[in-house]
Order: sequence, then structure tokens, then C-alpha cells
Amino acid sequence: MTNRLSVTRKVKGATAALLLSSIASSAVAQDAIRVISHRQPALEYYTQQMIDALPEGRVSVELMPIDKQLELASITMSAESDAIDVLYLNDSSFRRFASNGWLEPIDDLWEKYQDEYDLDDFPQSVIDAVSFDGKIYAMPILTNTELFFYRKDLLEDAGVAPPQTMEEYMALAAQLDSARMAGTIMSLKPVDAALNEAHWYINAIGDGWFDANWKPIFNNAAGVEAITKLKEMSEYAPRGFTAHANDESTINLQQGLAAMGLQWFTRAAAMDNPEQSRVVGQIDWVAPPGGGARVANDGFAISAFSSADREEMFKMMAEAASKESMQEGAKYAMPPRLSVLENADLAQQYRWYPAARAALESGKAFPAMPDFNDVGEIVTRHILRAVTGEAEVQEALDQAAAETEELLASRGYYN
Amino acid sequence: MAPLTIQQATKSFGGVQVLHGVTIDIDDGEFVVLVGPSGCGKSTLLRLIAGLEDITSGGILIDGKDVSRLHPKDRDIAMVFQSYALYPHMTVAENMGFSLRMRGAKSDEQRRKVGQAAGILDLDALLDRYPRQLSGGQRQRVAMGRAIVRDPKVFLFDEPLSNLDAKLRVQMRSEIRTLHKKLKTTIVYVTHDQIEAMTMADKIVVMRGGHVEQIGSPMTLYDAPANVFVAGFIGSPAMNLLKGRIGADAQSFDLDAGGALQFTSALDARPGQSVILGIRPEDVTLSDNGSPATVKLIEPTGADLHVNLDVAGSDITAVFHERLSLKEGQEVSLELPADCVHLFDAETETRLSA
Amino acid sequence: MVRWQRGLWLFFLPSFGLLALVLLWPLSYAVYLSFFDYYLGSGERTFIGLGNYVDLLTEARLWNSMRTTIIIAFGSVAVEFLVGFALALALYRLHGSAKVFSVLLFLPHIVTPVVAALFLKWMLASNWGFVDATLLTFNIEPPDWLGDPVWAKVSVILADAWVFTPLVMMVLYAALQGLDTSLLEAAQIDGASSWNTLRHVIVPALIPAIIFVISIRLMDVFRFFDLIYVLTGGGPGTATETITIYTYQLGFRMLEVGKASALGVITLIVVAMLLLTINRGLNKAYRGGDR
Repeated sequence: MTNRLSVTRKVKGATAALLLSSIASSAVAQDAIRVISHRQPALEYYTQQMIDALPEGRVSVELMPIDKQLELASITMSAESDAIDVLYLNDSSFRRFASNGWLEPIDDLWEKYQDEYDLDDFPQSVIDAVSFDGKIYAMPILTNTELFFYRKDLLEDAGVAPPQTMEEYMALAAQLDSARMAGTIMSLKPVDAALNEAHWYINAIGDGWFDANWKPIFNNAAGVEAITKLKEMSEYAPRGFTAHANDESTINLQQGLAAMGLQWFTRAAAMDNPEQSRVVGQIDWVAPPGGGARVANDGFAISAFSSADREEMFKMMAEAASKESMQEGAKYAMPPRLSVLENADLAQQYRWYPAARAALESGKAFPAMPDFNDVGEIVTRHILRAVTGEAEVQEALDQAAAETEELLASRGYYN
Repeated sequence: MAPLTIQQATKSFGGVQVLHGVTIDIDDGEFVVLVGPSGCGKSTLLRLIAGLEDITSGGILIDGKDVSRLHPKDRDIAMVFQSYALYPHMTVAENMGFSLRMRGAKSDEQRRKVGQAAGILDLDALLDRYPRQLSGGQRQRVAMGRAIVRDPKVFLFDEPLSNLDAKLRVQMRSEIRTLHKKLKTTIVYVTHDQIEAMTMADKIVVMRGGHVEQIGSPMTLYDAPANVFVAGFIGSPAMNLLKGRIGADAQSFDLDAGGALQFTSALDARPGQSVILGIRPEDVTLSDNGSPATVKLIEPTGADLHVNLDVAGSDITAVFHERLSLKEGQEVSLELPADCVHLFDAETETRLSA
Repeated sequence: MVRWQRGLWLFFLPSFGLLALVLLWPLSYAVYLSFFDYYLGSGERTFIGLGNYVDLLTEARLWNSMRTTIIIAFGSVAVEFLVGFALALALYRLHGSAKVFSVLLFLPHIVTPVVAALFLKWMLASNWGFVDATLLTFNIEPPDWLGDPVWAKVSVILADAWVFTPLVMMVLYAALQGLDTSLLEAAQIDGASSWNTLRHVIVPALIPAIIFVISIRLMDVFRFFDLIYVLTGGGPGTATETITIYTYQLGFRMLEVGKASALGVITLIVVAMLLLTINRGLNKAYRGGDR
């Protein structure tokens, strides 16, 4: 009799303990600031800075590919949930989120901590890039440009200089294309990667995306020529390029599976990483031939529906964006801070800085509209149809333009 | 039409031996019935002849040719199944003509042969019906028609009448007999019903436990069963079998269960010999000075009277063809004619040689 | 109506209530939303009547996705049926211990489709995937399994077949068990070859089971989502974009909830019509078959 009693008591005690601990842990979990971010080397560094800025366990970070991150954020914010506190945004997605009222303005905190964190160090153009409708919504964390990566050893063997125009790029890619190594990388995974790659062609060969009234012009003669060139170039791309984003293309370069191509500044350091790369010291950089490649200003913003403490979150982001942090971070991305950017040592320390400065001059940001990502959903699908041969280039682009106009009309662009 | 010889056929399923060296000679045109209790191996033997099972050892010869390794379709046999096995989605005509179609026969040849078989079995009106629209008896005839179309050397029947009601069974028995007379093809027929065996067969093969117990004509098996099993199997109601010892004067019989029986004359055995005594119910008569018995149960069938009697502690069944007014519990006196008695050795259970 | 029967409808209420909550309410809300132009980002709804439906039905992309859905649906079911039937027949012939293989054959179906899709994606990844790596060692240049518009469709069809063939196999195998063996023996004696036995005896007897399994697979595969989403995301371009993937794009990527709801309603109508047609076909087959 006594044995049975003690067993039931033990079972009850164990269950109670389990329940309590689960409640306790969930309470603790709710307390931590939840940060979500795109996963690339620079952001791995900066989110780590955020974790280090606050006491242990106060910050939890989730890294994932950018399309997934934006999707998660969109769904969470549209449901007005407090599941996300701080999120990474680039210039195009940032505008969309701000105009939807999903972000928390931080002007007051910016003024309060101006001196403590030396926030004057950010140039006005950068602050403008993270402002919408007159209010500041994000802490700028990096400026990113697309660079042209190439294998300088292979070019030297061929006796060729790095390409200056798109024609030279195409000829070179064709020349170096072989069974073992693709002539060029190509990142055509919808939406973000494909949009970046297409943006370059549309600007370098085409006339751009929109006219002054936001009517699509990418299906004009120049635009068709641009995408046709993209399609022709894809013959020298590694197999599976329609699913390649920045990660896959970086690996292709690192493993010597491709000879050149367009990739982000933030991936440059990875080329010399002896643990991952087989081409250490063999990659060099120039500004993308023909110009018009993407320039982006990225930052972290606070969700309007977050239930965490505003000041604490701001301080976390400001710490991560501090001068010291950006000094380190200059290896992975161009720091927006003037004091760091103008440091002459950078050019000596990091081989790709001269090319990056040149790319900043010739590059072009995405059209300044909140809905460009949604336009991207439409356009990238149709560009892929054209590139894979499912549809003719003119027809695919016309269809894309029609759907884009319909979308923008419904969002009130032509009123 | 061909002679069929089964030589020392054995069949094992894995470690279990089901047929133990069965040998049967069947003449051309004979109607042979394989009969026996469930599990005696008769269906297995039939399937061996058909080729639906592989023979483990021994031979099967049809018309002198060893077919034991041949595919069923090459053995020139036809089989009528217990469940008729008619193709449900084909008409009667298509069912019957299926084997011809498989052989690649032209459609007018098919129509001719099917028409012939239909004529023999009176199926002309049903040729366009589907099996589900037919009665049991009609389906059975279609199954037979399908077999006839093949014009085989041997017909095999696997308990074809078991699914029919009693009245229909009687009718079909005579139909099959008539068919046999008309076609004169060798038939091997399996059944567990000894009445079917008795009424239809030229030759009966009684099987038990994978062995052949006795082969012979119906009357031979009835009049001279080779052992106790055959004696008790053939004949309905079954033969009365009593264990005991021949009395000192060879006219009486001491039952093991106690008591004694008196016979009209001397029994054909040594006094004191241990035997199993068999006497058929229809051979038992009432007389004034025979063995005393008590009536236990009376079953009138209309045509005869089946009576269960208690004789000196043992049960005996008697069948009387006259209307008698007997009452249960009544004391009567039974006459047991010695010439109707069958004697079997108590240990081997085989018939005592005369 | 007998008096005691009147109160019986009260027993309906709990399950009906649950059904209404989980099924009817979301469904009616979706139908309601389909009449609005509703972009989740702005949070405004404007009533536009049948505007969404008109837009969708006059859109090239919708008809494209219908075509893709039909190709993938019928392709998948065809592969599943043929392979599943062949496997069921093979299993039927096996004896005793060999039947252990039937468990192994059923494993792909037990795995969650999403996990199966992830696994297949790794197998088919270009250059480093299992399939490509193997082919490359033999110096065969493999096609872009997931990136070529035609091969992507093939990969999706094969992926679905991989997951669902065991189900088809099981249903047909169970139906085979109910087959009268004496029919097969009669056919053997009649001289039918294996192929003829299959054609004249086995398939006619299995027609109800065959129709059943084809119709449920067709209905399911029309609403196919998780495998395609993981394998190709509807790509490349729109090569494997079925109606359901397009609905997902509209609803969760472009946040056009009104239009997505309208497409959902259209899908419902299409599948319902398919169901009715199959049902009618089934009835006819049953009445014409046996019993």
C-alpha cells in the first residue's frame, strides 16, 4: 500500500515539475529579443555583434535565405504578431515594410543616443536610404555593391585583360567555358538573386525598369536585347543555375567550378578563406562591366508589433553598428560610417576595396518603390521562362509588363 | 478419349507429404470417381493430373505419353471446377469459346464448336447471357460446355455438384452420366459424397490420408470392402462395425463391450479369433428367435425405416423396407444372417481372406 | 415521425459544430474574401464583385498553371498506376519469406512527403547531388533535373510517384487477394498466356479497385503542393507551377489575399467537377460490371 502511494506521489511531482519548467522556459524564451536576418558572411558577423551587445540569453538570432526571411516577416507582420522583434531589411524590402506601417520609427531614440554612439558618422545619403516619409526606420549596417569577380590566373594565361563591356564579358566567358569549369556563374533563383542578375543586364544593356510614371519599360527593344543576352550567357553557366542564389554561386567560384561572374562585395572575403576556398589569392575584382549593377543599403529595423523594450533593442543595434564593430566588419561589407570608409588602410588590407569604390560610382540601386519585390516575383518568373526556352523573350517580357502594370495599378501607382 | 495411368504419384508441400505413391490405371472411356473424406488427397491428385500442381515424384501418362512435366494447356485435358470458375465479364458463348480464342482459332470455327457444345447441353438460349444472370445449374452446364469445347482426352471434375441443392444434384448426376455415354471420353471425377460415387462411376477409387484404400467397381466395393475404412465409407447408412471375439461354436460372437450375438450359421473364422465384425443395416431382419435387442430410436424416411437398436450394450442400426409399428423401448429379436457378415482382422483392419 | 426521433438531431450538434468551425467557416470566409481586392500589406479591402474571377480566368498565367497541373497530375497517376500494378502483381506471385520485401516497398509512403521531397532534392541537386555525381563519374553529362522546364516536370512526377506508388500497390494487392484462384487456373487450362490472363481475367476482375485508386489519386494530385514546393518551388520560371503553387504565390508571396481566395474557390469547383465525373463513371462501371 505504502509503495503505491509513494509512486503516485512521485509521478505527480514529476509531472508538476515538467509543467512548471516548460512554463518557465517559455517565459524565458518570450523575454529574449528575437532577431531574424538574411544569412551571408557580413550579417553573420553583425548579428553576432548584437548577441554580444546584451547579456547572455537576451538575444536569439535566426538566419535564413533572404526570400524565406522576407516571406516569414511578411506573414508575421501582416498578422500583426509580436513573434519577431528585429529584422534585417535591404533598401527595396525596407520601403515596402515601412509603407505598410509594419516598422517602428526610431527618430526619438536616434536623437537621444546621437552622441553616445556617434550617429553623425553616417552620411546623409545613408540616413535617407533608411528613412521613409520623413522618419528614420532602420539602423544602417552595411552598404553592399555587386562586383565582378574573375580568376586572374586564368585571364593571365589567356593573355586577356579583365572585361570592360558586356560584349567582352560574353566573349571571355565563351572562351573559358569548358566541361570541367563553367565560363561564368549565374544566380537566377527567384526572387532576390534573379532580380539582382537581371537588374545588371537591364541597366547595362537595357533602358532600366520603369519610366518616370512607373510604367514598365523593360519589355522595350533594349530590354528584350538585354534578356536575350542573358539567355545566351546562360549557356556558359553551371548546370542548375536556375536554382542558384548567392550561396551556390559563391561556392562555384570557391571550388573553381566557374571562372567569373557577378557577386556581392560581402562574398569577397570568402574567396580567400583557406577552409572553404580552393582559389585563395587567385580571384581579383573589377567594377561590373557596363555598369548598372546593384548598390544596396541594408539595415536592421524594429517591428511595429514587437513587445520588447524599444530602448534595449535600439542600443543592441547601435552597439552592433558602432565604429569598432564596423572597423572589423569592413572585411565583410562596406561600412556606412564615413570615418571607417575613408580609412586608407582598408584598400591595403582588403584587395577588393578599389573595385568596390569604382562599383559604387557606376552602380544603380533598385527603383525606389515599395512594391519592387512584388514586381520582382512577377518579372523573375517570366525572365526564367524566357531563359529556359519555355517562351520567347519578347512574349515573356510583354506578359511580365502586363502583369506588373496590373499589380501597380491595384496598388494605386497610377492615380 | 485415352487411357490414363498414374504411376506412384507422390506430392509433398514443403515438408508435408500429401500423396504417398498413388497408382491408378484408368481405361479409355472409363468414368472413374475419386472418393474419400476431406484431406484424403483426392483434389490434390486431380490437380496433379491437370497440371495445376507439380508432381514431386512418379508419372502421369495420358494416352501413353508422360505429361507430368507439361503445362496444363498442353496436356489436352479440361476441368470443371467446384465454383464453376466462369469469367464473369464474358458472355456464355465467350466463356465457352475462350480456349479456342487463346489457341488462335478463327471466329467461325469458334462459333461452330461453341454451338455444338451448346446443343449437347441445351444452352442455345443462354449464349448471350452473362454468368451472373444464370442459375447454379445453368452455370454448371456452361462450365461443362467450356470443357467440352476443348475436345480433350480426359475430363476432370472437381466436386462440381457440391454447391447445388439436393434436388438439382440428383438431376445433374443423371445429366453427367448421359453426357458420358454420349461423348465416351475418359472422366476423372472427385467427390466426397459416396452416393455420387456409387451411382455414377464405372470404377471407384477410395482414398484416405494420401493412400489408395481400394479400387473397384461400385458393387465390388459394396459387397467386398477390402478394409474397415472402405466398409464404413461405402453405403448409407454406414455398415455396423463391432469389435469382439468369435465364440466357441463359431456361431456366436462375443462383443468386447460385453454381451454376445447369435448368428444363423457358422461364421467363416476360427473360434476365439479377434475380429471386427461388419453387417450392413439393410441385412438386419426381425425374427422370433434371434439376438435380443431394444429399440432406441426410430427414423422413418417415408420409403424405409431407420431404427437404432441396443444389442447387448452395443449400438446397431437397421434399415427396414416395410412399415413396422415399433415403439422406442420395445424389445425385439434380430436375425443376423451369417452370409451377410463381413469379417476384418482386429489389428490390421483388413478383410479376412476366405 | 415517431416522437422519440425528434430529439435525435441534437446528437448532431457537437460534430456539426466542429465541422462548421474547422471546415465551413474558413471556406465561407475564403469565398467572402474572393469578392474583394485585398492586399494584406495595406490592410484595406475594396469590394470588386467578380473582378478577381474575371482577372484570373482571362490571365495567361492561370491557364498555364492549369495545363501544368493536368500534365503533372495525369503523368503522376499514370506512372503510379502502372508501376503500382506491376508491383502488386509481382508481390502476388511471391511466396512466404519474400513478402518481407513488401514492407520495404511501402517505406517511401510512410515518410512524410516533405521529408521525402527534401531527400529527393539532395539526390537531384546539380553537380553534387547523388544522381549527378554518379553519372559524372561515368562521364555522362546529366540534364538539369530541377532546372530544365521539361526535366523539372519529370522530376516532380517521379517524386510524387515515389511517394504514392506504395499506396496504389497496397490497394491493388488487397484487391488481388480477393481474386478467385480457380479463375486463374481455368485460364491456365484454357491456354491463356500470362499477358492474356492479365488482360481477360485479372484486370476485369479488378476494375472496381482500379477505378477507385485512380480516382482518389487524381483528386489528390490535383491539390498537390508540398512536394513541388520543396523540390522546385514552382520553377524554373513557371514550369512546375500548378494551381496550388500559384495560389500560394498569390496569397503568401504577393499577399493578394482576395485573388488567392478566388483561385482557391476556382480550384474547389474544378476538383468538385472532377469528383462528380469520376463518380458517374464509377456508377456506370459498377452497373455494367458484375453483380
